[in-house]
Amino acid sequence: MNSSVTKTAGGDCATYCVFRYRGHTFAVTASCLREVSSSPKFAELPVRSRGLAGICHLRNEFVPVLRVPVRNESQAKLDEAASKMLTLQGAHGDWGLLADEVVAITPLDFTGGPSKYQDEWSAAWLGSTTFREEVVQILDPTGLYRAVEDELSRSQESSIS
Amino acid sequence: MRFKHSILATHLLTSASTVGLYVATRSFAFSVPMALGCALVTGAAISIWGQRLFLNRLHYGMAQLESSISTGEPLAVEDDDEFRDWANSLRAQVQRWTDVATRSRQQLREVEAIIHILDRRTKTGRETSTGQLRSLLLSVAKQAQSTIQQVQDGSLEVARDAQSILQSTQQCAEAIRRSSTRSAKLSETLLALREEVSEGCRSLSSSREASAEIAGQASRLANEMSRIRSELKTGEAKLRVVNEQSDEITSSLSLISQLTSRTDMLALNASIESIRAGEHGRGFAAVADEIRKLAEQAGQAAENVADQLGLMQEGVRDAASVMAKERTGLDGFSANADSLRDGAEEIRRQAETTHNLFTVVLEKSERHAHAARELADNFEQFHDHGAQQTQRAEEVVWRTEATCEATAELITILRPLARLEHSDLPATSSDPSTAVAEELSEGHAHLADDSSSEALQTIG
Repeated sequence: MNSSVTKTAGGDCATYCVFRYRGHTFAVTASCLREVSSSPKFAELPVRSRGLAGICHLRNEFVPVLRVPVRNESQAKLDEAASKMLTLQGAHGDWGLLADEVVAITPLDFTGGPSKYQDEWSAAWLGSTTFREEVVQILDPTGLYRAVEDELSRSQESSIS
Repeated sequence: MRFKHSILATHLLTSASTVGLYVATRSFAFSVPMALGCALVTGAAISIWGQRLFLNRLHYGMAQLESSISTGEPLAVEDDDEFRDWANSLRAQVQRWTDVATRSRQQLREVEAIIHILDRRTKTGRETSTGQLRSLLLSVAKQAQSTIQQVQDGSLEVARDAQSILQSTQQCAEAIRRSSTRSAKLSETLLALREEVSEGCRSLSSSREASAEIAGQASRLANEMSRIRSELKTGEAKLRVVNEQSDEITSSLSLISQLTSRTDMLALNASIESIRAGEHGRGFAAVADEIRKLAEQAGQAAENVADQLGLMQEGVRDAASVMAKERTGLDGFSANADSLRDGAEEIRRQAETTHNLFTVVLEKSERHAHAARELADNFEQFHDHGAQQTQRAEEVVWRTEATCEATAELITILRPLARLEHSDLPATSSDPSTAVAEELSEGHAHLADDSSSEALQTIG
């Protein structure tokens, strides 16, 4: 999967979808965003993953539902309050990302920097900026999806071994 | 005054009879002292008659005093029984005096008959034997001396009794004066009590009117409380209706919020599609953005309305709660107003009853004050009567003393007649008593037609 967002050190004025999830404000590029919908009922999978919430059926497709890994929060509690779901377009099809509230679809200018995450989730982070006096963390949808895939692979490997 | 007039009349009649007797017997030297003695005896009898009248008057006054004492304030009359004993003894003494006067009047008639015989003998020139005349004079002198002695003794007793009556009358007058003073004080006290009771009546009347006013106010207040309570109940019902309507508005607002949320989401998706459309979707993106802003504003407005509605509902609930509380308080206040009205009505009834009692007490105290005033006036009259009785008793004492002196003088005058018994005058041949009796019968027969007899009967 190729990244649809070009990370530029001098600033990129692309359009982003700003949303809140568990008290944090995130943003993903709007070019890979297919739609915003209410959070559907989704089925949890029998795997332990911080990024994969479950799978749902949306518009005649089974769509994996992901979430932004947030520290110090139980997963069940995280998934309960999410009222929106962003449907993103990936290389292998659409997938969903849980959100509490979509704030805006607006152009953002951000600067790259050291990743907030020092683990496997660091690939999902592109940078940060401010919007309406709030710090917005710019996420890379492709990196987030890949990190969830890696987590699932490790989990599967560990379960086999 | 009537008593004084009767005394004066008796004295005048006594003087007239004395003069008449003197004129009738002026031709005989021995008849002058005899006539004087007879006149004194007659005067004493008439004085006794006057004293009897005085005693009857005094007894009537005492009876009046006893009646007043029994009907009014008891008097501190001292020695009442002793005074009555004195009155009884004086009455008995007067009775004895009356008997003596009767006997004296008979003797006076006999003397008058003798004088008539002597007069007739003088006219006819018939000589009277000296012995018969001496015997006759001796007999008359003895009888006159005895009668005068009895008169003197009776006068002394009358003087003593009159002195006792004088002292008792003075004591009674003093007691009556004290009772009069007390009755006057009692009357003043009753008048003061009447004023106080009258003042209490006025206060009670004011209290009665005030309690009636309070009862009316309490009744009006209770009615007003009832009206306010019913209005509060109506207000509570209206508030419930408002609350229900606000609930409906809240549900409508919830629907509006859902619609705005969906509109917002629709606008977001439109923006996404416009972005996906690239350059061709820029206009559509602006429209979608405006729609999203409108949806946000509508959502904010709905939220504001919901907030305001929530505040309003909270205020309505508070108002309903306050109204319910006020209604409960009004129930208690209405009960208190009813109790106040009942209490004021009870106070008014009690004040009316007390006012009636005060009115009765007022009337009775007025009557008692009037009766005490009359009693004091009666005591004053009794006091005046007592003073008059004292004066009359002093007069009786003076007259009895004068009677005693006159009788002593009469005894002195009659003493030479007693010496005739031892003189050497010749005695008559016949029995002098028989001759005297015959002549006396003739004298009596002559006296039946004489005018002097009428005068004596008038005096008697």
